[in-house]
Amino acid sequence: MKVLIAAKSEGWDAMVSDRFGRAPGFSVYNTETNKLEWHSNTENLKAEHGVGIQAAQIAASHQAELVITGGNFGPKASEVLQKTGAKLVDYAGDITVKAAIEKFVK
Amino acid sequence: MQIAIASGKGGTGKTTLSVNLATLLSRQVERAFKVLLVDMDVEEPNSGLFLKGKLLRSEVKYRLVADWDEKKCTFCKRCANICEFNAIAYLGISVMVFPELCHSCYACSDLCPEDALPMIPHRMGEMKEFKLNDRLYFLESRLDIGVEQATPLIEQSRKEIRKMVDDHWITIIDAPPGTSCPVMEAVKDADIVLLVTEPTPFGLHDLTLAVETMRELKKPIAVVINKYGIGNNEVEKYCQKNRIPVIGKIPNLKEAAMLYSKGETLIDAIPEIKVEIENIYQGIIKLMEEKK
Repeated sequence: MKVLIAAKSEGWDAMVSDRFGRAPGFSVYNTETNKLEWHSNTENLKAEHGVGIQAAQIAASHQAELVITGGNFGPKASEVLQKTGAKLVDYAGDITVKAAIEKFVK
Repeated sequence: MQIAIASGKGGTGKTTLSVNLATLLSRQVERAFKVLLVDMDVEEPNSGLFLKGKLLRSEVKYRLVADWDEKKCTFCKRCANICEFNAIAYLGISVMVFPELCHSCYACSDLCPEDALPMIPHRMGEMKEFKLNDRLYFLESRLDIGVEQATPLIEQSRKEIRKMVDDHWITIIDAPPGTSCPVMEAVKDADIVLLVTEPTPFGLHDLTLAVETMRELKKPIAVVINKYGIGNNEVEKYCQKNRIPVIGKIPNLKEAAMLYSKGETLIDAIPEIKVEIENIYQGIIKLMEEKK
């Protein structure tokens, strides 16, 4: 299973982002390999509208089954993510990516 | 001739000036033209509150939005990649179009190799035409509740004017506030833009933004100071320094506010405002002649 976590920067010790669509990037955790892959969100940060949709599309492209953010999901992001069937965790708290994985995945 | 009345800041008196100027001009029989007042503040049109006329027609307005046809789609992702407005989500097994983000640009629809994104009409609002008398007509467009984009409806209103008027008409546009797309669309065909402001720091701040916007659009501008007498003289200093003609100063009168709150025009009740509105028109004419 893959888990997508909105994060402030790359790596295990980075903090979870409280913004989803405008997160600096996404850490994609693979439960089978126990590896973390970084997906930068720089392109979306420049966009005026529709960033939630784009971020949800990134989650879909990784076939993420669990999506975690520190804040909440916007209405459009939620709509798209619900369509993908992913499980959503919002208000994950002020924690690191590693802690989020331990708390919500393991 | 088309005169747009804009402001930057809201609540400065766009509607007051629009309604009173239109009414005054329509009554001057010696000037052989008809007047069309258009409320382009489609998100909250209010000129109509001051005008009691006969409804001539009412039309529902639509815009075209891309709609996904699952049966034809081969999931090539071209549509999501091309969309400039992030209105399309590509999910591998499904495509979602968000109508509120679609700008009706046709890019996805035209470039889809399978013709799987036909453009479908979506209702966005209503347009109504009223006749006040033989010389004064009023066009109002109103966006439906929940519709996010004002600009497409304003664009349709603007095109409607072209069908309705000729050289024997004066068109007065009551523009939306602000300096973003809706106001830029509303003033597009205007020969001159009057910027209504108030002599306060807020008024000056937003006037500055409005002036920059209109200069970007290369529109001739003039300033009207409403509620003259309150605040300070910084707006006048700014206009002088930037060589922007101030063609009217409407005094701040309690009586004017009271009439406004009852939905009445000011020119019949307050002679000094009537004179000032007439001066504003003379100021416009003078500026238009200088431009020739």
